[in-house]
Amino acid sequence: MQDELILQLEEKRKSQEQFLNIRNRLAADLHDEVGSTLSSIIIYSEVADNYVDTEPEKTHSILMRIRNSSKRVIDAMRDIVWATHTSDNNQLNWSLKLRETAHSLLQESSIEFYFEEEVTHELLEFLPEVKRNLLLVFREAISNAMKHSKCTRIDCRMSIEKNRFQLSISDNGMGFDNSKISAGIGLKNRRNRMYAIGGTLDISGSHSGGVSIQLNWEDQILGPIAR
Amino acid sequence: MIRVLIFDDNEDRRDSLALLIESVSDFAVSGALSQANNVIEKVAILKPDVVLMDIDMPGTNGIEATRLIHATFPSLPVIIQTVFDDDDKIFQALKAGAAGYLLKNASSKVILSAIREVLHGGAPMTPAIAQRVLTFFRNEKTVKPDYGLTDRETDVLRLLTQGNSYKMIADQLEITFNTVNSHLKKVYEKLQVHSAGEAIAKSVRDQLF
Repeated sequence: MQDELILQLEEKRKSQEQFLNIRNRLAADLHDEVGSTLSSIIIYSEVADNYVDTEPEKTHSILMRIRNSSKRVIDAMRDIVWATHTSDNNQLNWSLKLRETAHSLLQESSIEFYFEEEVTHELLEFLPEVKRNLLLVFREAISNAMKHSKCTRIDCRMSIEKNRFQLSISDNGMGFDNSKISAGIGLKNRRNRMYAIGGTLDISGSHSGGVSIQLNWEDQILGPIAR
Repeated sequence: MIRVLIFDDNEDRRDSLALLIESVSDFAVSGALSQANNVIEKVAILKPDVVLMDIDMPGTNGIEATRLIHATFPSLPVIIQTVFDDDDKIFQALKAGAAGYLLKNASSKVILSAIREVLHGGAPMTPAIAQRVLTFFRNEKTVKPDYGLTDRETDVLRLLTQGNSYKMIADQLEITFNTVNSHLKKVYEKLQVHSAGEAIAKSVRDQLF
């Protein structure tokens, strides 16, 4: 009886510690990302100030960068707040967030975004870190397709099964050579982000058929602490 | 022409630094990279005069990269940059061989003068960081290992370290030669040494007196 209680207390302490660690890591991450981007706005402004009287075109291009950096800071903060908010983690919330993220990234392009969802089970409650990494990888996938693929449409499909959450993002752009995929740093980072939360990332591309990215996350390792 | 190599995983940061450096007539960007894996190869190819290094990057972090650069290219100055004013990381970076340290909120003027400064052998640091480094060393010095010596044993060891013979120690402390001997035996045990020479070396190294 007593042993059992001690064990329970010990488990509770451990899971609290784990939560604290996650929170600290998220805070450090946010600080680094937001701090770095804001610091670049300081530098941009100072360089623009040097050009403002003599080179209007350069000044204009720097002002646009300031605008884009500011937008990225806002996005990063919203993502973090969304990821740490656990109360409304449900299917509706996910599909809204994904659509809103894609829309915000694509609003100045003419790329069309289609979203489909297939849900057979209630969504498991994710740890903030799982939410954050999934969203970051999604964001990068959309933004890469926009910047590099010359596509006209992007299709996203979210599927939620018993223990599994899947996202697939595919574009109809120019694709790429499968043999050269592994070289990209961005891809490696995205893979690492998925591994870090116990998920996987598969990517396939061809010269004709665009790029398709699959994100899989299964609730197997995290089990009881996933809430 | 001063060639600057930038490492930072934040795209905006990289881009803005590159823009700043290119805006100065005697500066040029030798590269702006998002991670420091295989840092030695990269430096060998890009041949910079100065490196601006972020600390928190995926893969090889800035402190490890600084250590590697410093070991292979000891005369190439590395300026560490981070948003965190974290004593421990600052100290680790300086121990790894960083020539200077800037927080990312530094203005462009401060960044450019830091680059010029390291090339003239300076060690750019914000006053707050310089203060912290000094404090760190000061604290470091006052931490003496505690071997649990008694007052008498400490007296005996101090006199020994000052160059006194057993006989002289006995006279000064007004104890017998044998008592000195038995005190020293305990001292050797506690310091985990086997001779007077080792005991003296250890107490000097640990700044016991």
